[in-house]
Amino acid sequence: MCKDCQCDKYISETMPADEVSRDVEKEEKIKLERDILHENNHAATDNRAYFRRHHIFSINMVSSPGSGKTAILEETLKRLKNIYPLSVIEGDLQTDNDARRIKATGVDCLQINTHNGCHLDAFMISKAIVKLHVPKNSLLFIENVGNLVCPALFDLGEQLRVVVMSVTEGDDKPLKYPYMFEKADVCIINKTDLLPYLPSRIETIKENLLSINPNITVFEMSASTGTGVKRWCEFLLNLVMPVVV
Amino acid sequence: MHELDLAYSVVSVIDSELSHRQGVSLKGFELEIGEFSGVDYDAFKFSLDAILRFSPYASAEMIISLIEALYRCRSCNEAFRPTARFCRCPSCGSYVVEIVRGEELKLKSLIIDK
Repeated sequence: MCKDCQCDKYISETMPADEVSRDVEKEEKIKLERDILHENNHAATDNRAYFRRHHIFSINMVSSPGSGKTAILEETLKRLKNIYPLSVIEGDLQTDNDARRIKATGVDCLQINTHNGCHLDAFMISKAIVKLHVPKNSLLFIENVGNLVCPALFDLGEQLRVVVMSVTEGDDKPLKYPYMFEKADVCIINKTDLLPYLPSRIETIKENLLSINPNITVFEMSASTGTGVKRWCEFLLNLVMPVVV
Repeated sequence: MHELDLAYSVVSVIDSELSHRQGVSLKGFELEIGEFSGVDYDAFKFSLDAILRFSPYASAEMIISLIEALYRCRSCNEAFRPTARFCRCPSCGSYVVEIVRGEELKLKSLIIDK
């Protein structure tokens, strides 16, 4: 076939009709209707079944680079590590800097370097949970690659998707990157201690966020000062052991 | 560039489909990409072109249909073309709208030589 000069059109016009039809008869169309993300979704379903069987509660944390996912994790781990078994999978293009920060809190952590990949996929997670020996009855945090675009499409099999945004990113972030905010269960608005120095207003952020996803649960937090971390930790504990809180 | 990853999965779906059918050659395949599927058309096509060139399907024709999004308002039942991913119903102003089509991301069919 030729799209440029339409020479195929010329051939079909000049060829005898029976020859054209014979050519078409040789062809067969196989209907597939297959989702292109099918393979990833399949692996994610396997992960989800594994998590359920082993009573592992998994949380996929996504955000743009630098909004404070690792800082939030550090604070969360410090508060929860003596209460509930925890482990962490870190995703970054390069370096194990984040894994070292997590390990410093005393929690088991595995670093995945995606090199050129812009997101974690379900296959990476299934390999990582075996390598990391994620214990039964535990909470698993997966820190995705800092990117507000691609990770939205890739289900990892997690039970909870948390999107982190910081107030320094501007109050229209949810409107600019709707896919990510639409698919998240929880949004943590981080760095609220900087609000007095910024034109962003927390009300506008929340308004934009809720117009994209009216069902999202919002937490205001400042990981560096510790504000709001307690409420977030209580929320997590309530998910994994509802009787305690 | 998640489009590159997706292009690889297109090829692997074709691989697995054709592995059941000995001696056939792939003449073409049809893809559907919705306006709001989260995939950039140009990047996706570029990735597929690059991969197919070094695959057994270098001569296969790629037919990509772009699916225009269509919404329906859950309050007044009006169907409309959205102006953005998140928009209100143009007739009653409700935010409660659902997507009818436009999120497709699928390999619709393979065209093979018998």
